[in-house]
Amino acid sequence: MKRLALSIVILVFVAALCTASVIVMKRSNDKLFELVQSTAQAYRSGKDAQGELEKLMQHWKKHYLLLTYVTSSATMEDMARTAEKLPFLLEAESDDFLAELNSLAHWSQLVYDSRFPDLSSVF
Amino acid sequence: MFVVFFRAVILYIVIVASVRLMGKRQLGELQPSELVITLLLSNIATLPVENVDIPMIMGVIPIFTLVSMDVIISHISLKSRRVRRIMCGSAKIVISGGKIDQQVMRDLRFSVDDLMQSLRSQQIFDVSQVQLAVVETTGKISVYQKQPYRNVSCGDAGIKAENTDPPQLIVDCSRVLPQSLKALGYDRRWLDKQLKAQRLQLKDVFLMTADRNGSVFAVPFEKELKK
Repeated sequence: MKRLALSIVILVFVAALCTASVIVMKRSNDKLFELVQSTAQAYRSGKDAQGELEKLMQHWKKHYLLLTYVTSSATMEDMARTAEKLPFLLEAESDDFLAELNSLAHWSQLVYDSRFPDLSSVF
Repeated sequence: MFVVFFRAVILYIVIVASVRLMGKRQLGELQPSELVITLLLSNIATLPVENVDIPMIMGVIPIFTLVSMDVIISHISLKSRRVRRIMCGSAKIVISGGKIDQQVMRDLRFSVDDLMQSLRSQQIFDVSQVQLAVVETTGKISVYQKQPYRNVSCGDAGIKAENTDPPQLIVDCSRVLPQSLKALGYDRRWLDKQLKAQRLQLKDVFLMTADRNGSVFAVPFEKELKK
């Protein structure tokens, strides 16, 4: 009976851990989108986008670290490359800045969707 | 390289803990579900060790999930015959009343070579000596020989033999095993008396066994290997 109880506890713990990881990823993703939107808005309106970008980069580092615990894919490397380019694109006031911002948000959503436990990601 | 080293150590601990969780049943003859678990565990465990890009948790979670499911299902199988049948199947009789059931052999995809090999592994080289043969769910064959070919027992020869338990280990590398002593109905004083009779001290004993009749067998440490 001890083994049975321990197995049930382990399964419950694993289920809780998986649920928690999805929730934490979702929250982190939502915050990333918020920051992407606010950075894009600041850039379009000609306001100080540098401050918003710094907040975004700080959050991105935490988000990336979170993702490394639960996933590993070539997409993450592309995302990291995109994120690294942003400060230089902003400084150069390049047209690609907004495109790269949206690309970061888009890939981040794709990574989350692939980890969300629905039929398409399971199968 | 340190990453690989630490992962290997962690996964070793995880695998040992998992096998312990599954219990002695898993280490004995394998049922189909247990064989599946064993194969899966070994493959899953190597992935995070070989590839450091894969998060550790991707190895640990499936291992613990599979093991826990196996323990839960085996407990359910214990209570439910139907579940046991679904998970493990049932034993099939291939020889009954000395006659080979060819239909069952065909259903099991058991060839004549398989049958003969299984009988030989039971030290039976003549299929005509077999009264009953059962293929267990583990794939192993159990055999009951015809009367003239069975080993003679004390009962057959009319010899009255007492039922006794085998000897138990009571000292292991100078360490007394109090549960074994208690199970045999002895105590530490009795042990000291026996050691004195054998002219041994506890620190000199490599192993010592005893049975309920008071028979004792002691092996001292070899001089070169003494602690």
